[in-house]
Amino acid sequence: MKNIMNTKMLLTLSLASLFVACGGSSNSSSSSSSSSGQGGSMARFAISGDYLYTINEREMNILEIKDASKPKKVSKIHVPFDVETLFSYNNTLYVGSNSGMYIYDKSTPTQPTRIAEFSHAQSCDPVVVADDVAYVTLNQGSECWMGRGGVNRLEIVDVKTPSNPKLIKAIDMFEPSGLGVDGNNLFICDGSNGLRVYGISKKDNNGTVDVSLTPKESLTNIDCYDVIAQKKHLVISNDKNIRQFSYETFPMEELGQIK
Amino acid sequence: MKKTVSITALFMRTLFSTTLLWAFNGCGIEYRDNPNCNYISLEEFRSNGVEIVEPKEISQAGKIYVYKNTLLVQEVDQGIHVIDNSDKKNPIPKAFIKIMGNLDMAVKEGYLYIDSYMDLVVLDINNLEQINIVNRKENTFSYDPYQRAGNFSYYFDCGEYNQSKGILVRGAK
Repeated sequence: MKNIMNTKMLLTLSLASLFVACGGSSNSSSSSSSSSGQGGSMARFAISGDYLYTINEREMNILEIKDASKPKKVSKIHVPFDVETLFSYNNTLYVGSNSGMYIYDKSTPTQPTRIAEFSHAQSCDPVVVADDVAYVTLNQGSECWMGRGGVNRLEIVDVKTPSNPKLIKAIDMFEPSGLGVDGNNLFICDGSNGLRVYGISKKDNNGTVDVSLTPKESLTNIDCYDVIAQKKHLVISNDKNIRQFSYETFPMEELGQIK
Repeated sequence: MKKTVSITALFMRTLFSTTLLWAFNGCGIEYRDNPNCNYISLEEFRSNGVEIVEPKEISQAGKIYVYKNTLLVQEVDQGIHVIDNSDKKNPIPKAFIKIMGNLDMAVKEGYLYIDSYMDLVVLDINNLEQINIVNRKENTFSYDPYQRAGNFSYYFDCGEYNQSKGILVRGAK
């Protein structure tokens, strides 16, 4: 029995590795308290309160980190095998996977429970959330065999009721990966199309939420993997270096590069 | 370290990797073969797996993390660059944390939490001039000898994992 289980798991993992390997995406924890920092959208670690949440391809580990010198593992839960990214938002955790976005409730911090699954085509996809709206990029990986039926797009999802996510709209992209949101600015790494910046405008018409994006700026000389946008300061992981911009005004001002 | 891999599973895995290698060679997946596969003992892993060294240049930037004025940049498969970003026009690299098997990082109240294969390691980064390891929580995560390096496009094939030899490390020792 164990052999069968192992075989099944490894087969699944072999496949998972292959799928995951295409495109490359993972995620972060942006809406954390001021005592913790902020990761990019590709993070697999997220801190919320006194807890550190981590995911790998098959499990979520929850650690209590009230005392840094004595971290305590408090629980482990099974997650879908193809999960890639983790984002903490209020009482929820958003898990990006190859087959969809999973939402966990963490009202009981040590026992997150899955409350929703938002499925989509097989793609690689980080997710970030702001103002009750989730932004998910789907990247088929242009060179992936499995991507032929996949998509390259941004999905905008109403998550005001996290147990019932609703697609607001989907926008075609070139090859999107890491993304970041700050206030009404959305930053998306879009493969060889570079970095795209959009202005977000959200309207709530009697419970029906609409979000429209207005292109603000596009930087094509960037090969970005991940971004962090906070306090008008943008950090971009750009393969061989790090680039930093200020977005007090548009077009953005480049502050410098780190090699 | 409880993970045991059955003969059948290994056979299937090998069969699968071989098949996949053959079938999807043009799919953007790079196979890193045996020259990069090294074993180290658990003792060596636990004593030298995380090391604070002089800053160095970025060669493949992975994940990034901002904590107050500190910017952390993952060097894929190697560790984490620690940068003083107080003056964003003139950031100063302060140290490099060499880490075996690192996939991610997060900071709370001046303490950096990282994974190093199956261990969780906590470092005090309150003073960038003097970064210290404050705790290692062994076997926090499942050990996966075939762990991918973050989200980068290669599948690491080191053949059959031999638990008695210790930890299978990617890249150079």
